[in-house]
Amino acid sequence: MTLIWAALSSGAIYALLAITYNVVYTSVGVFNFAQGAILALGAYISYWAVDQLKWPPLLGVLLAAAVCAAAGALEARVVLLPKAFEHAELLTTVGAATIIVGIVAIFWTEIVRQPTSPVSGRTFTVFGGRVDADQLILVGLAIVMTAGLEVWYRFTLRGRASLAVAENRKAAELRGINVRAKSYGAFILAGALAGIAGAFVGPETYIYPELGNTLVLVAFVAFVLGGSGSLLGGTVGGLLLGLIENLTARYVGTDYTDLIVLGVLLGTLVALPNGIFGGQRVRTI
Amino acid sequence: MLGIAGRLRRCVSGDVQRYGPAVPLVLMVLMLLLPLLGITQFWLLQIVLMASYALVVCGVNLSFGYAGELALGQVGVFAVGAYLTAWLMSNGFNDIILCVLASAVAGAVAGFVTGLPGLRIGGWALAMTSFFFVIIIPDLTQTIPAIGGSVGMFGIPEPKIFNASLGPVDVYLFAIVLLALWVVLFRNFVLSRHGIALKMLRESPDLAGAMGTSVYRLKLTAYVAGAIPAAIGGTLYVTAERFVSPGILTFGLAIGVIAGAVIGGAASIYGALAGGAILEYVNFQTSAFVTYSTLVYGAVLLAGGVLVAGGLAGIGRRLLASAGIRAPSVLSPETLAGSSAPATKLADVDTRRGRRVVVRDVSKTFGAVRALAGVSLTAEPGQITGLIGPNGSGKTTLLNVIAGVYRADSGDVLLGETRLHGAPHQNARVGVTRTFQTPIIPRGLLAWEVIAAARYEADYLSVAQAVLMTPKARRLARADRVASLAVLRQLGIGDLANEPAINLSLGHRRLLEVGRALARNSGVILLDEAASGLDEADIAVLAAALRNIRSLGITAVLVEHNLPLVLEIADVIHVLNMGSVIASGPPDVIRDDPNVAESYLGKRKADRTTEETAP
Repeated sequence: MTLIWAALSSGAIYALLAITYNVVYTSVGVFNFAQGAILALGAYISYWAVDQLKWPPLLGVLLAAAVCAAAGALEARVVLLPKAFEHAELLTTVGAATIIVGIVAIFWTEIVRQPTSPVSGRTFTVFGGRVDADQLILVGLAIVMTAGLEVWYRFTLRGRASLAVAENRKAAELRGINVRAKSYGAFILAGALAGIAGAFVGPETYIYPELGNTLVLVAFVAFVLGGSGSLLGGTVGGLLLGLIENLTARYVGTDYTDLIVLGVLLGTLVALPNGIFGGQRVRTI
Repeated sequence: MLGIAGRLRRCVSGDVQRYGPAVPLVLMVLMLLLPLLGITQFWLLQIVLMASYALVVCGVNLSFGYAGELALGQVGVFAVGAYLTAWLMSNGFNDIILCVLASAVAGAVAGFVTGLPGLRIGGWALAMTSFFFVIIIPDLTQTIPAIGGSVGMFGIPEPKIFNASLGPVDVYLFAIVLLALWVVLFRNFVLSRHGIALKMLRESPDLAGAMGTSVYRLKLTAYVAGAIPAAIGGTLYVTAERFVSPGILTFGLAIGVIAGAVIGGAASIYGALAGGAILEYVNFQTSAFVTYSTLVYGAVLLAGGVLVAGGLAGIGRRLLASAGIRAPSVLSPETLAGSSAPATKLADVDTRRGRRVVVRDVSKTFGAVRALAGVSLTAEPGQITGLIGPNGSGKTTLLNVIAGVYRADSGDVLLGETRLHGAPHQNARVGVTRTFQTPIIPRGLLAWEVIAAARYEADYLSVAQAVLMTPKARRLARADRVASLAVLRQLGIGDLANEPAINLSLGHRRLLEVGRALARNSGVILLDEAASGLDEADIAVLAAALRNIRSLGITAVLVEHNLPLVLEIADVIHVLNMGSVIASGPPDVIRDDPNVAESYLGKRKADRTTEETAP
């Protein structure tokens, strides 16, 4: 059970990232590669505030959210410009991620740092397995974010408007929805959520500038496995991947985890292209 | 400035077509002379490494710049080439030519194996999967002791050529010759019809499919073709550095390679060389500089996604153009003059034969909407068959079923005696070509190239033939130019042949679409709302073109809202309403059919009677 808890908490990290992918994807229809880098930025901001400036942890989390929201807004400024070619977001979002990694490396160098946790370091025994507060918080955070966003998308007018934008930008615009504002909003919200997540992820993974690049790929697999555009799917996918990774590392060998995850990605793309919770999409000209 | 431009223009008489192939040779000779000028060993090594990265960037250019898919498998293939060479050389096979050949073969195989699943997906999934391959390389190499595990392979022996050892200068000379050879082959490839087809594919896979091109196969071709230089780049890297370790194959390298491709200009040859050189230059700078380079790479990628500047190559092209030097793709005055005889008829270019299209009891539903409810009709060769009906009556759906975009739920579409099925590109290959409601004209192609791209499947030209510029390749290249120009002339827009197609007016772009169908030697042309948005003068030109098509015996199916036009030029008209044919016949009959008036004009019989009896 201790292993399961460890697996779930590392899965929760992927789930958190997958949630932020979905926030952008549902409203803008773009996979935002930079979410990983933004999450790492959040981890650094919170480390800076709490460990270097000795601020209270809560303020560190809030500052991380604010800075990352701003990063999301800046990124949106470029990504939402008219595209130069069909898959231009491939370049712009990877470019934004690379810039963030570059900035973090300039301010904090490449040294691996260990932020103190915003919560107490206490460990508990839950369901017969040992788990520490940080791990529990991560799992809880993923569940709370998923539930909150699901409710918002389904039951509020603004949330539904966001879904309408994802479905058909032109039609939504004609209905009087401010598509541009919705798109910016999605990037800002995803940035803020990634910032909050970063503050809690940092103490678990320790932090280094390329942290985001390490997480972004596995979280992408979670995003695809759950079904792109499905919040619940992304979270379930993330937790599943955490289990797969930890079980592989335990029973097969740590050298093989990436290989297995790649296998999961290829398998999903070939056998289940819409993911576990993804609906059918009909392509038309 | 102007004086220099004028002199340059006179010097080269404006023809890159003739002198273009000499450029890599001249550059090669200049580079080969560098060691005589006392260049240091350090710089010789740097230049070999630059050449090595340039080859990888070339590979990325082929898949990203030309085929439009961001696949980083090339970095993985680079690793394959590097490790294979290191292993061969450490085990006594250190003939550098052997290593290059072995790497090329291994690279092609690796490209094929990774491209096969990856390219089915495309877009983000492909980009991420290939990123994954890059991440996984260190994991993979660590598990294989024969190639040095996590340490890598050091002290690789000197390369040899026919048993003669190669010093640093020799390696440098070899690398330069190899690179020049590659540039010549690469240039032949992208200037051939394969290059034009790839540009079309990058801009619109839907269009490429409609033109009979198997999108998947073409992408795979570009990807495998790009894997070969990447693997050879790995060989050069190892012969220069004499070691290889998992540490060099990083995410950062992958990012650097894309940045290099974007800086140089993703769809260009010399741009790739510049990109590779910059990548290596950044790599050997101090670590402080490397920190900032991440920032710069990021900015480059960001800019690459929103600017169509074309990188350094784009700047170079604009400079050449302002100096009056034509790009190789522009038709020369000789070509333009050669076939200017007004007697050139389409029939002289190709013999074509119309085929009867029979639609038999076709039904198609989308969810709860029954778009087609058992439609049967026939379109005869040498006739214009009009399909009219109110919005949502199923006209475009029927067109899409015939084109193969949709699969009918039940019923058949016959072409002559054979059943049509399958994907748009399969239907296109048997001679069914469509136009689009909004003309799909790829960016970056000249008007004649748009027409030439439609001939891609007409005479098969293998990649090897294109790369080696065999007589057949030359003949086809000439034929493509002449035939495309003839088609444009027939449509009355021959003087626009050298214009960038995307800049043409809507009416001219429509004509280009019709021309594309003609160039494909199609037996059946499906026109989707060809007249929408055109003014009367444009419609007259279009009508003339359609009559021309009819006179060639082609089967033309015209889906149209412009009732006067259809009544004027169609031979047979079918009226659709709510997914069924409610009337068929020649224009005169349709004009007076009360059912048609009712459904099409939305009038009820009762209203008509009151109107008619009213004083």
